[in-house]
Amino acid sequence: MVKGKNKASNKINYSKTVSINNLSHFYGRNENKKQVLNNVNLSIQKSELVLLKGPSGCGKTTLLTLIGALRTCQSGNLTVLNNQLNGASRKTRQKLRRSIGMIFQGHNLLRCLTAEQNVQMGSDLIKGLTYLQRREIARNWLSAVGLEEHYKKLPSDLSGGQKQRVAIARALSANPKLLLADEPTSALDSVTGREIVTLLRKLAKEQRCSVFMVTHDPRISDMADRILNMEDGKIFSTHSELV
Amino acid sequence: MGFVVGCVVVYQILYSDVTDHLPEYATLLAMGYKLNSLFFVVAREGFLLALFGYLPAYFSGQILYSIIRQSTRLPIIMDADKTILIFILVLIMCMGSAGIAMRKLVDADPAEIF
Repeated sequence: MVKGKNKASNKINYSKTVSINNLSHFYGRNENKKQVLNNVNLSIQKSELVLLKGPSGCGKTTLLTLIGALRTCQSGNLTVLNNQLNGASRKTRQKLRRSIGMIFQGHNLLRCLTAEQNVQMGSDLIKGLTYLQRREIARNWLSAVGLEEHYKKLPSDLSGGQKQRVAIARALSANPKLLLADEPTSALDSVTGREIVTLLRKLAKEQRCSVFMVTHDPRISDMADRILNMEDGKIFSTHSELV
Repeated sequence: MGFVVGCVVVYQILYSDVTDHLPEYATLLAMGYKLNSLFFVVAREGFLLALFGYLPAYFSGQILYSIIRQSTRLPIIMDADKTILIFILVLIMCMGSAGIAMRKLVDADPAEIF
C-alpha cells in the first residue's frame, strides 16, 4: 500500500515545467558557508509567465542558475522539463540547457556577429536542419520581434531595446520549453520594457513555453500570471505567504 | 629557438583572445553548446594562424632566397622537403599553443554570466 503510494507520488507531472521541493543552496565552506536558498518550494506550469521579485542578494539569480542547469543542485529536489537535476552529470545538464532559452541582463550578444548570425547561434542547436533552414528560422524570429530591417547589423549598431529583442529572438530560436530571463527590462525605458514583456508573453503562449523572469521592474507586474517575492532565500507569494 | 619563441608568441595571442572572449564562450555554454565545440573553435583559430602566418613567410622567404642566390651566386634553393617540414613545424607550434590556451576555456563558467 505504502509502496503504491510512493510510486504514485514519483510519477512525473508533464504539465509542470519546473518542480522544486525543499531546495537549499550554499556558497563557501566551513565557517564561511552561507545559505542563499532556504527550503524553496516552487512549481511552474506550462505556458505560465512567473515573475520573481526580491532585494539584491536574496538568492534570485542563484535560483535562476539552478533552474537553468548552470549549477549543480546541492540539497532538495529540482526537476526541470522532467529531468531530475540532483546529481545530474555535466552532460545531462548541457543537454537540458538546449531546451532552455536564456535572456541575460546584459544581452550577451556575440560582438563580431550580425543580428542574424547571433540568432542563428540559437537555431544551430536544432539538429537535422540545413544552413539555409537555420538562417530562415533566424530571420523569421527577427521579423517576429520587429527587426526585419536589421538582419545585417552588428550589436554595436543596435539600440539597447533592439539588442534585447535580438537576445529574445536568439533564446526563442532554439524552440525552448522554458525561458529564463534575468532583468530583461532593466536597461529599457517603460514603453520598450512593456513591449518586450508583451512580446515575450505572446511568443511564450504561442510556443507553449513557460517564462520565469527575475525583475525589479514594477512597470511589468500586471503582465504576469503569477508574482513571487523572495527574501532571505525563501519564496513568498504576492500576499507574503510562504509558497 | 625560433620554434620556442613562436610557441610563446602564438600562445600569448590565443590566450589573450580566449580571455577577452570568455563571457561569449560562457554564453555559448549556457545556451547548450558543448565544451568540445568551443575547443574546436580555438583549434581552428590556431590552424588559421599557422596557415596565414606561413603563407606570407613562404613567399617572403622565396624572395629572400632569390635575392641571395642572385647576389652571391650560391645555390640556395627552398625545395619541397624544406617547405613541407617548415609548414609541419609551424602547424605543431600553433596547434600546441592552441592546446595550452584551451585550458583557459575551462574557466568559462556559464553561471557567472547571469
